[in-house]
Amino acid sequence: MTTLASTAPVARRRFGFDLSKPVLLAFALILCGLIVMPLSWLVYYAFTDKSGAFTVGNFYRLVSDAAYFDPLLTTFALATLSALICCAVAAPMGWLVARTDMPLRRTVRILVTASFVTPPFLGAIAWELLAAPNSGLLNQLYREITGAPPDSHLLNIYSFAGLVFVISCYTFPYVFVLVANALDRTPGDLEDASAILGGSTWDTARRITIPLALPAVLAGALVAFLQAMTLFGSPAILAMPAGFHTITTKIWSLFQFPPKPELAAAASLPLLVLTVMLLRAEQMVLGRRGYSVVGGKNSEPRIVRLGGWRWVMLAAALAVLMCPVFLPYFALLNASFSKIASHLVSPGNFTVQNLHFVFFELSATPLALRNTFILGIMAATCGTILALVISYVTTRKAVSGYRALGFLATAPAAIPGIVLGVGLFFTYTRPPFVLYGTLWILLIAFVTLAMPAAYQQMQSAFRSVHPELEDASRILGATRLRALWQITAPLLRTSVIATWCFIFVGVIRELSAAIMLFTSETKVLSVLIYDLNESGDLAAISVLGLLMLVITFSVVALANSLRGRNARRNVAIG
Amino acid sequence: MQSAADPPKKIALGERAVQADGVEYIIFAEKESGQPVEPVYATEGTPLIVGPNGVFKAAPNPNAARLFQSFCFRPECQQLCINIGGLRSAHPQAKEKPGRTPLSQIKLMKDDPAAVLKQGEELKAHYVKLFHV
Repeated sequence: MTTLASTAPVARRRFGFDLSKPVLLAFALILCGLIVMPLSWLVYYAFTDKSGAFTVGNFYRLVSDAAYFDPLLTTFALATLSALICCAVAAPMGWLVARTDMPLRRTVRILVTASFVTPPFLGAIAWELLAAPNSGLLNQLYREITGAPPDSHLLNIYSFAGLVFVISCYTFPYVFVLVANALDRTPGDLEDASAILGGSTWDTARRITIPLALPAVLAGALVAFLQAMTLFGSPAILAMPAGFHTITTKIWSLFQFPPKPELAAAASLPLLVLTVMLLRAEQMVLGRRGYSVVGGKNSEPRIVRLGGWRWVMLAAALAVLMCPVFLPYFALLNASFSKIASHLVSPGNFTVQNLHFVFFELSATPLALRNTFILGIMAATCGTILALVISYVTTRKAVSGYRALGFLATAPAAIPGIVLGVGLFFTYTRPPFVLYGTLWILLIAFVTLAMPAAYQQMQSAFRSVHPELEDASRILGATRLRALWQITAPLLRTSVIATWCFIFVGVIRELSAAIMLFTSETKVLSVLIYDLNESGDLAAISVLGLLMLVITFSVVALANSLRGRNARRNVAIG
Repeated sequence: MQSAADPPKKIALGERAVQADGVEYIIFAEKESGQPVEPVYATEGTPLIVGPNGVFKAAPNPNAARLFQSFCFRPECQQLCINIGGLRSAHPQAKEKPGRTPLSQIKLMKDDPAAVLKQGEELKAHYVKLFHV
């Protein structure tokens, strides 16, 4: 898992007290607390009955009662289908933007990023506006065009197929990013060799390009499966009105009155075990990719000329992007300014009442906005600092046992948001840490969930800074912390800011853990949107959703502009 | 599972033509703002949901709470609840809003807390069997 940029031994100071050891130990303890505590309570509750005695009865109830077992099967089918659809759509798209001369490739990438950062629950609500059987805009259009009777519909989003579709819309970017990046990095030499030896374009694709990209596609499929399996928002919004549960909505409903925490814990454990197994599988698949990057000097990837097909392919890519981006954004914008969310805005129908309602009448808005910003800023700051220190330790092998620290930092990737929510609920509703009802418990959840990605980003940043620079500083007498501060920190500044933005955006869109941990005073924007959906306030949701998107895109744009500036500066130095 | 405020909003959207349970006050608001909806009261009876109101034992400002309560139960406030909130009032001085079926003409169903306590879980399980959620 951890490959090191350098094997140069880390210089050790003989004299003077080095603060780094206790600091590092403290960070290790924090990580342990974040991850081990909630999971231990989860396991404890799953295996005990109400009196605290050991039992496997909770699991027996889960598999013997159809009300609990059916959601398991549904979730499995849902995740499998979503993963297949994601691969079928995202892999060709990844190839198009990485390896062909299709026009507007950069724009397509940006639009995929847009669907990446769109909260899935917001997409699900937007699709309610588009494809609810009777009031959905697309169904209205269908009846308008075909003259079909008023009770007929083309699409029904409140169905298993509808849920698979919406989940795929916001999961395919995971596969796309993996495939496009893999193809970006794969050298063109091998394809050139195939072409020189007389292979046709198709032969080359079949025998060289596709096998090279296959591990990325497989890994993408696993990630997509995982996402679809652990998502809470979309199934809660679409599956429950359709009359079925997934495992996440079932866990949530077990916490509704009267709560059955022991069953919720038992239902969470299979999700946790499956996630761990899938992540192991992904590592094995990606680990084999080593053979794809052979050769010291990599040539530029070979671009396939599509000829007349260029525009057809662009049209296809844009058609795919209609589903996660253009149509839903249009529906949200329309509902924000329409007197009735399901009617198209017209001069007689235009209103700013929805904006007025959300910003001046709805008492929960200022509170949720404040909580979201406080949590976003704090989680991003704490998370970045944690990730920074831990990735320093692991890339520089600064203390013995650094591997364990790296493992702990990536472990939350295996904890679905809702499972972490349940675990944190158990941990912090009892002494000595009664944090339930405060923002702290949400902060802990968000930092934990953001840790794996933040850690990986910071780790790759550290690898790009050669330890020689730090060594030089330390040879000249600086302590480790001083070397970090004076040498490494300035070099890492942009990566730090990028990671900060990444966590911030993640916090804004988080619902699965927040839904288990919020109280009336600690409501965040995502929970407020979910609440409003329960009472059917689609117009208010649209306004809040657009606000959420504006905040998200501003932060993403900020991170991108900084990264761009940094890239240019590095080129200048090189 | 969903809020009782959801069904009338689904009607307003045009997603559904009828609602079987869901709050009355939003239907009043829709109807009185000119939307084509009409409440119908079942001959079997209509459930009455009581909105309780109390002061916490450890309330930080008990006098303010009492003041608020006394305001709540004045005829003026009860009339506001009826006229603007679309709610019903048991206050003898409060008057029904013209155009709405008076509460006295609606057959009401009574809650049975003891039965709920005894059969609650069973009823919920039955509901799950029927509606799957």
